[in-house]
Amino acid sequence: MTPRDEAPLLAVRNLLVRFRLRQGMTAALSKGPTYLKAVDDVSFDVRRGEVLGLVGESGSGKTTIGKTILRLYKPADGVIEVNGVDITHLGERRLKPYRRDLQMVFQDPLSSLNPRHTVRTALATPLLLHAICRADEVETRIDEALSRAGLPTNFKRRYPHEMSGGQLQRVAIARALTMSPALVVADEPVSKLDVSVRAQILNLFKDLQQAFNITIIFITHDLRVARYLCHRIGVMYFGKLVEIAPTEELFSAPKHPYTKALLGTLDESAATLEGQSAVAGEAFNPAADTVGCRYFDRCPLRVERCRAAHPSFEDVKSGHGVACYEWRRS
Amino acid sequence: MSDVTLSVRGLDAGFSMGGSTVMVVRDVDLDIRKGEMVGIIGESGSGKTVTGMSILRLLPDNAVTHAERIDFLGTDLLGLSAEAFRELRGRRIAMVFQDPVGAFNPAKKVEWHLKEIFERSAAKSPAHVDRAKNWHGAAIQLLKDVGIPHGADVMHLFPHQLSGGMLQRTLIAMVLAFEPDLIVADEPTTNLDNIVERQILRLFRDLQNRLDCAFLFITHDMSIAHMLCDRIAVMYAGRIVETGPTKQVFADPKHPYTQGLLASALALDTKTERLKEIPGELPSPTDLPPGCLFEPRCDFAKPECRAKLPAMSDLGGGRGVRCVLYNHA
Repeated sequence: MTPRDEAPLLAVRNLLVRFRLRQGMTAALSKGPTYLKAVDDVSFDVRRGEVLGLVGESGSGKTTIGKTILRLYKPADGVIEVNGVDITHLGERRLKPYRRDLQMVFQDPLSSLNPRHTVRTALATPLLLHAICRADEVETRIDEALSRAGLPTNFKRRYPHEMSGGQLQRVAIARALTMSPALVVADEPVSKLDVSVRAQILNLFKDLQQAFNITIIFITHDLRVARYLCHRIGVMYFGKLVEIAPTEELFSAPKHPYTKALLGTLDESAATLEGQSAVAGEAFNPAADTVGCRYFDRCPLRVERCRAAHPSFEDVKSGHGVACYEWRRS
Repeated sequence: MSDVTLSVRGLDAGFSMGGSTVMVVRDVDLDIRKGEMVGIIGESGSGKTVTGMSILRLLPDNAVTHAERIDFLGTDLLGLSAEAFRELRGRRIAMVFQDPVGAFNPAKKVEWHLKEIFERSAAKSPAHVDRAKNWHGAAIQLLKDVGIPHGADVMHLFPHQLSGGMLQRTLIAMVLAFEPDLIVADEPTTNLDNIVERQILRLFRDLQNRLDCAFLFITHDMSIAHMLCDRIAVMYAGRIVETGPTKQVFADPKHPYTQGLLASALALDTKTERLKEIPGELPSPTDLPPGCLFEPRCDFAKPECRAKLPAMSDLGGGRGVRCVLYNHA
C-alpha cells in the first residue's frame, strides 16, 4: 500500500459551522451573540470502507456536520479534505465530481424524492447529469440498483406516494448507490421507519456496505443502531465532538460523562424505570455565549476549570479520544 | 365490574374519502380500570391513534365511528351530545399528545394556562375553590414536582420560549392540577431526546401513582410500554391481535406479529451480528388480506389463515390472541 492509499478518505479539521441568529439592527442592539455555533471545532477522519457513526441528541450538530461535508452548508472555518484534496472552498464547477462522490440518504425519504417524478426518473436523472453511463445503459443500471436495494424492478413506474416508508428509503438508497459514491452520509435513515421495517433497512445497509465496501457516515440518535452498523462512533453534544472510539471500546470503556449517561439510558430500556440515577440539570443553551464545557450543568464530574474553557481533545489511547478534563476520574 | 373507568366494545372507525369509506379501526374492545395504565402498541398505520381519537371524538369531520358501547364511569358516551361531550372532556379527561406545542395557546404565558386549569377545576369541591384562590403558589409547587425548580420564572414565559421537554413537563403539571379520571397519552415522548424522554417517562409513572386515574398510553415503542403499562393491547392493521398483562405478553408473546415486533425491538438492546426481520410491510387499509391480516408476513401461515379472519381466543388470565395457532377451544 502506498502512503497515499493510507490517507483517510475524508478528513475534517477544526470544522466550525454557525448560523445567524439575529441580523442588522437587532444584532447590533442585542446583548446576546449574533451566531449560534452548530458545529464548533470538530475534527475527525473517515477511512476507506469504514462506517463511522455520529451519535447525539437533536441539536447536537450531527446533521449539520453531514450536510457541511457535502457542502450543502458553508463552514465558517476549518477544512474538509476528500482523498487529500481540500474541497472546503471549491467553486460549483470544480465541486461537481465531488457531488457525485459524496451522496446522502435523508431521514425523510418522502421529502427527498420529487412527488411528480417516477422512481425511474429519480434514478435516471443523476446518472445522465453526471454522465455515469451511456443513455442505452441507464435502464440496466436502474434495474441493478433497485434489485440491490431489494425492490422489484417494476417499481420504476411508481410515484413516491405509491410506496411505503420502507420502500421509499430503499429507493433513496438505490439512488445514492447508482453514483458509486466514495462516501455516503446517511442521516437518521431509519428513525422514521416502523420497528418491523427498521430491521430490514439496517440489514440492507449492512449487506451493501459489506458487499461493496462502501464508506458511510451514519448519523443517528440511537446508540443501539450505531452499535449494530458502525466500526467507530463519535459522540456529539451541542456542537462539540466529546468522544470518539471504536464501537466495542466506546461501549465497554466510555470515558466522557455524557457518553456514560447515554449508555445508561440503554440499560434502563432493558429493565424498568426504577433504581437508576437520573441525569439532572438542564441541557446547554446553544444560543448562549458560554466559553466553558457545554456539559457543565449536567456533569457529575465538573470542577471549577470546566467553567473556564471547553476541554480540548485528549487521547485516552490510540484511536480513542475524549474532550473532558476529568476523564481519568470516570 | 364497578372499578372500570372506560369500557369500549366493538369500536370501528374510518374515514370517508371521495364517496368510499376506508375503515382503519375494526372491532376494538378495551377496558381500563381505575389506577391502571393500559398501553396500545402498534406501528404507524395500525390504528392506535385513531382508536384513542375516536373514543375522545377528536377525529375530523370526515371520520366515521361506530361502537356497540363506550362507557365512561357509567355514562354512555355514544349518547352524549357534542356539547355535553366537550364539557366532559374539559372536566374529567386529559390528553397528552406527541407535540406539546399544540396544547398551548401561543399568545398566552405559561401562568395563564395553569390558572385556567385551577379555575376550571374549582367546581369540583370546596377544597378546589381554595386551591383556585391560591393558584399561584400551587402552580409553582406543581412545576417543582415535575422537575422545573424555577417555576416562578417559567410562569412568565411564552410557550415558544420553552424546550420540548419543558413544555411536556408543564403540560404534565397541568394534568396534575386538573386531576382527571382518564388520561389519554399519545406518543408523549416521541419528539424528545433519549435523556429527556427518560425523565418524562418517570413523570408519567409519578402521575399514575399520584392520581389513581385510568390511563391509556398509545405508543409504538415496546420498551416504553414495558416500563409503564400494566396491560397492553397490540394492534395490527386496525385490529387488536393480542392483549394481556404486560409482563406475561413480554415474557411469552403468543401472536407471531407480537413475537416479531418484540424480537425486532429488543434485538438492538444486545450486541448482534444480524437483526431478525419481519418480511414485507403493513397492508394498506384499502387492500387488506382476505383472512388473517398478518398472514402474508407470517412464518407460521397455513392455508386456513387465508380463508378467514381468526377470532379472538381467550387464553385465560386476561390474555387473548387473534391467531389460528391458539384456536383449540
